[in-house]
Amino acid sequence: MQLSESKAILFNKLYERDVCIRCILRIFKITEISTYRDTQQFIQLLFDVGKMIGNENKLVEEYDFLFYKRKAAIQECDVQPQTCHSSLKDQFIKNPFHTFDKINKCVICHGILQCLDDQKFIALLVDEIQQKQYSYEAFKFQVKTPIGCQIRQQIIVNQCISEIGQNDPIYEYISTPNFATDIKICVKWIMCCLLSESLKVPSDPNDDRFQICLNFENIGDDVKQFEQFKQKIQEIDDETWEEKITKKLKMNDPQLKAETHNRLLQKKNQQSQPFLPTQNNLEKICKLNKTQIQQFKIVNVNYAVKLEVTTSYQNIFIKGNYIKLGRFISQTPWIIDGNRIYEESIEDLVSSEACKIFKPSSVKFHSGGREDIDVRMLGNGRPFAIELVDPHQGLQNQSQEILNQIESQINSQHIVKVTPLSFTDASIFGDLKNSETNKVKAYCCVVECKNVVNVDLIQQANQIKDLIIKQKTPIRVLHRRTQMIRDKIIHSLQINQINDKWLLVYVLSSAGTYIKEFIHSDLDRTVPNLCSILQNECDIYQLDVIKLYEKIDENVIINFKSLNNECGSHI
Amino acid sequence: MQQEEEEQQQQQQQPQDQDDDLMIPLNVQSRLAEFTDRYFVKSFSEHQYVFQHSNRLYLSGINKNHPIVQSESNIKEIEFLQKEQQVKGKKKKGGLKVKSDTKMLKVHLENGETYEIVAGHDGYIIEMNENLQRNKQYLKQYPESKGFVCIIQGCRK
Repeated sequence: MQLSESKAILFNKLYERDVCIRCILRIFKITEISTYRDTQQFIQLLFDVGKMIGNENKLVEEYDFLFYKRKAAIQECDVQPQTCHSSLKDQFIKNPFHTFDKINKCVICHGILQCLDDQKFIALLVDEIQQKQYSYEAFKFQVKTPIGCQIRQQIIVNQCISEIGQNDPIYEYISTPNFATDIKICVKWIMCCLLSESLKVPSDPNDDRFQICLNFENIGDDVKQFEQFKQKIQEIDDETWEEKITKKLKMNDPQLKAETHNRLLQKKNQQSQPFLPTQNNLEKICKLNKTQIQQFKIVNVNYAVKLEVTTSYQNIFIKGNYIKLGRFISQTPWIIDGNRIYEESIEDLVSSEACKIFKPSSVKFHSGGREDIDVRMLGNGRPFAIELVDPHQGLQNQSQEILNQIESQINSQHIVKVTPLSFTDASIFGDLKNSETNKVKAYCCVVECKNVVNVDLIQQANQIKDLIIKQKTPIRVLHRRTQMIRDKIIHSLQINQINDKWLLVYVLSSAGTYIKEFIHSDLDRTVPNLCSILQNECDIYQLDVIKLYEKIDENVIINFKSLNNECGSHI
Repeated sequence: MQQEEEEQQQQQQQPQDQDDDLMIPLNVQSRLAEFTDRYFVKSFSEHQYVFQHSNRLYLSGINKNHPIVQSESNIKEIEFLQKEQQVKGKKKKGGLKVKSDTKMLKVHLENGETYEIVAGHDGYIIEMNENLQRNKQYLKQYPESKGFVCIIQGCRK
């Protein structure tokens, strides 16, 4: 660090005000990492500063070796605040930072930058991380710090500079709001090395897979620091609002002026909300200039800093197509009051083996559309993806062999089967949505007619091409879907007679068509429908989804007409 | 008739409904007479009926014993007595609020007789049967299926 007299004077002032050396280095925007890590050099630094101000040993004499600042009496911590606003979280179970409650705290960072090197603290952290049993080969380090630190920093820097009373260009730089090195960067410089030594893996900011996040919080203190700014900020807000309104209305009209004034008073009389420690409010405070900040002080509270350690691994996506060979299998577990209505679900069957291998925190099942519980899904299958959220064992298991293993385990149960699986990423959502809205589907159903069927009408029906039908929302789903008319297209029909009242009907339709309602007309709310086409009363007894096609064209229709042979049904 | 009311809490990632989903599945073993028998619990009053769907929507209309159905004369005109209000959204907001004795239709037969038909159940009208405007005789020919009068959503408790 290049020392000049003015810097040394400011250094001394900050030191006297109980700021730790790392925070002072930050304020001076020192970006050489070794300066922060090499704590032995701090003594030399204090010596040099002392020399500059004419008293070599002054700072060194008062130096506290443990905590990198001036020795000061330890202040007792206050009891946990009960008065936090309910919207602020307060959920901590373990607190490895708790061991540092009663220390000689720096005024700005409250001990965060002072205690990171402690061996016991590192051991506690590493223990907590290892307990979660992740497998990883590198980590990305994130940190969050309490928002009050910046306020305190700004206040104390301004106070020290005004106490010195000299007009130095360096002081101008230093007192601009975002000049100082951020406390988070400092924590990263110190912690990444220490953690990677203990965890024996490198720290890589570009590797998104495994993340360790340290979340330092001090909500009680933040609330108290921000409270004092409430009135001033509100005044400024009201002024800017009044200006804006004035400009907007281009007021020369005294009546309008009186009206806005009334509105302003109304606003003031409203129940005023607390001024919470948020990023927005922090920015407003940073906009205050020096003279305005001067009236504020550091509120001296001594709440303990809390630390929460969280780890997460990048989600893994696996995609494939599934077919459902049985009926009464729901797509996702259907639970009412803790009871499963249907024993099996596609989600469970497909993801159970993957969960055992990858050990995710949770799993999400996505599919390109769905079918009713009593409908089988056959043919080339419906596309789906499972998202393994935060897989603990994700690193070593991302191989094709594992996928083959999962596939054979699922297929061995003969209820739901899958096509060869593959890994994918978040782009799969677009494909699934596309499949749900665009794919043309072929269905097969068993239909009973009330009266003997008319063979001529069947032949006519088989010639149908691209019939547009209008479906009102079926009554069976009307309670949870919007009441509207949906236009759908029946591209083709193939009706085969089983006997004089029973039919086997193949339907090729656009995505989203309600087939059951097309067959039985849903009290004539779907028109035209099979009843009107065959001039008969029809009801449906079995439905299967036979095949999914990308889009409609001549080949699809030809293929559709021969589905009867493909399916191998014997009438 | 086996009807069960079920509610579902699905945690699907598709932008689907989280509400009640009630389904009576197709079952070849339990073939029931008609579509309406499969899904609805039927209750009849003297001349009208209210069918309750398993998802708690009510289908309402006149039954076979109503003089309109019994009469030999055809229907000349059906007059809708209430203003049609459009329902919006999944929660069906904006529906007309009715009581079970609110008069919904006035039916004029060709022989000059007129009859009034009431809603049949308390709640909000989701839909009046539009087919009655084009095919008036449905009311007489298929009173308990295609010729229904309205669909009502019960009041939320």
